[in-house]
Amino acid sequence: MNDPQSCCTRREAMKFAFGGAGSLLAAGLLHEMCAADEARGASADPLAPKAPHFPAKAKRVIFLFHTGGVSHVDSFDPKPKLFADHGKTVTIDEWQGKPGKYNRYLKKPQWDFKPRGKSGIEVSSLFPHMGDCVDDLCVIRSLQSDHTNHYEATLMMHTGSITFARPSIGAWMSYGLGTVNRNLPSFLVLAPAVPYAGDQTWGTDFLPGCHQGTRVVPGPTPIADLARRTASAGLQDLEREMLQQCNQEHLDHRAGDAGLTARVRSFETAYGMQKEAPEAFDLAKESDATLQLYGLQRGANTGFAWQCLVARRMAERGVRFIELIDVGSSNNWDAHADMLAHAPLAKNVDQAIAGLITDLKQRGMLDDTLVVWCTEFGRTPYNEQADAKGREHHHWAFSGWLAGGGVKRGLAYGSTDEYGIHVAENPVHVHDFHATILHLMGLDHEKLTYRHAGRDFRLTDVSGRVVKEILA
Amino acid sequence: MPADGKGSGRLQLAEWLSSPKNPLTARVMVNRIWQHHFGEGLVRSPNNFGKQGRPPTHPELLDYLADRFVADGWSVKAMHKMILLSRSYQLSSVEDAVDRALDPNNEDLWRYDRRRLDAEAIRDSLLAVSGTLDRTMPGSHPFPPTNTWNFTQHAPFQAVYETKHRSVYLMTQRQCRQPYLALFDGADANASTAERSTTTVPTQALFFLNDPFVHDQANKFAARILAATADDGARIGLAHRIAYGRPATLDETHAAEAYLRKYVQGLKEAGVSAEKQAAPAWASYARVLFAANEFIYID
Repeated sequence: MNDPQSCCTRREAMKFAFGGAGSLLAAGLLHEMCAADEARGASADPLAPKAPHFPAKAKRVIFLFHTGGVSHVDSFDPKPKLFADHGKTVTIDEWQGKPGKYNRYLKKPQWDFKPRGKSGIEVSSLFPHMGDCVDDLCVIRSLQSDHTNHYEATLMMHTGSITFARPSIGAWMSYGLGTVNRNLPSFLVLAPAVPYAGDQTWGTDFLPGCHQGTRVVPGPTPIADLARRTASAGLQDLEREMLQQCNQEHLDHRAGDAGLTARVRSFETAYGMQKEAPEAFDLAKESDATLQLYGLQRGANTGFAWQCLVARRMAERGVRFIELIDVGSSNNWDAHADMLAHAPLAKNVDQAIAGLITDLKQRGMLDDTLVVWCTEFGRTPYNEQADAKGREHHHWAFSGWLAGGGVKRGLAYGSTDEYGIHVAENPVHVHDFHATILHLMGLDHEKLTYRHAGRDFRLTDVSGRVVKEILA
Repeated sequence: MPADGKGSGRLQLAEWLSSPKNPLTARVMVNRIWQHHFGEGLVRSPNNFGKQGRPPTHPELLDYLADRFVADGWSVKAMHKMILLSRSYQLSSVEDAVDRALDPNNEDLWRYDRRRLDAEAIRDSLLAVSGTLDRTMPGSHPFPPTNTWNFTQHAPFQAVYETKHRSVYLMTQRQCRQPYLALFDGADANASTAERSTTTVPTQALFFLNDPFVHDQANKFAARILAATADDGARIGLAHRIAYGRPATLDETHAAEAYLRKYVQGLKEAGVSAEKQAAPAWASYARVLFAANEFIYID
């Protein structure tokens, strides 16, 4: 990608080299060179749209993240033998990060599984609505992560790292592809609460700050500083003209400085945002049928259904990466005490997610939108106590799904052993998951690099395999 | 470094770092100080002086500064002074087509590269010009008493504390980035940040347009100007001297006077009573001065 160390852009250099007195190049040719320059991504504007490494169907990502660890054996990974062998013991070779041999009691799932849709993929009654649209999903039953704790595993699902925070997948996407609508952020995070690892999950770390996720807290004021504070709109227009005039005079003596002109432009965009962003969050013009699809009450401006519908509106308006987080670091899917705690959390998201898939499909947007459903890890199919009602953290195997642009539909990929303890075939490590998501967006995970601290960093570090088997 | 197995090795590390035979430590440090003032170091890969780093643009100067740094007892202050008194630092940022063609990246320092203030300096400047900067030594942040701490990974500590002190005193934590610093490319506390990026994004413009902090400083700046003198021309001149460190030109004074008249007219139309028009009009003009490129770019 572009060299972050060069202090002046090629455009700027060319203007001074060729654009001055006695120009050697015709203006048209100079323009052409600059245009080609921008197409390769060496523009002065770090968020300008960039061509992907190769053509891809998916143009944007909606990333659904469920905090706390959704149980795979209670949702997308049917295990008849786990029902049958309830109460029997198994020997496992590690317990919550502590090495050694342990005898543990198998615990049957609390939701029944049925084949759903034409594909017959089994989904449990925990997610009846998602089950309804299973023919549009590519369920992955063999996800693997590297850590058994929330903090590290949440960081890994977002940044590929379990130790130091690294740029979030959304930040990499913004860096790699830029964004088409400058009146909205390139990477938007709709999150009522902060997940484990805090806002490191949507941070940029060493990537330029403009690629950081902008967090939107569902409610009446989704983006900070969007509302004008002057006594009238006319007064703000007056202020804007005066600012423009001062900056123009300043610029007249400093011609050709791309940084100064970019900042003048950023104020124009900010005025655009003031107008466009509230409209993007305003659901008043959505039909009753659409609201019903998501299970959203008219007038509501919170809840996962609101997040899902806003995600579709952001996708329509060209936001590159939209992340939805359902709950924060407490009262989440971390059902140690009782698996039934999954029920209200599932009810909060199930219909809304199915509504999103259906809505995108009806509008023809599922073909060029990639929807990702994931969590930081699964939950143990066994417990220390025979009568335990909950389940512990389980990163050896868990489930997620992809849907939309470039992914096979109605496919269940990978599998676990008879109890859902280990991956049995076709493992998809988080690095592979990330490599595949980047690939679906037209980015080669080995080429999307950024030079930091003496080496080229990647989202997938030194790992990652594109799961070609699930590509449409 | 020899591993003799005795002690922790910290003494040996300190001796190796500060040995006269190891010029690297002083070079790295003076390069950082230089970079702080110029935007770019003499070595443009400040975290990498190794084979994969970039060679110094001025190796003799780098060594001269490193030697002086050691001779002056590793005084950072003395190094600041020497650099600030240099001709290179005092050059203007005026463009030159010939020099530009010869050295587009200004590696030979034929001019001063125009720079945007960093996040901390923008905030400090706003506090300083409005007269609200607290220059006293700050105490500790208002952390809750330790006996009330129940922070866990499920209920982490996420406070953001405001202060009127310089931004260097803002509380920094890894999990929850200080939102203002994050907006203006402040370092992410998770990574060693040798050089900050300078991004220009619309959310920064929104901050200047609508953030309560900016409006608060503009109100205080306006009150300061209004209290200083009763003459509008003198007020405009004072506003320029405080905000930009230079007097207003005649054109600027005329433009500002016309602007204030129009703004007052707008306030009147919005139903604001006569005695309440001066403060918001001057606050609006203050916001123009703050938001303008001249405020946050150093020539």
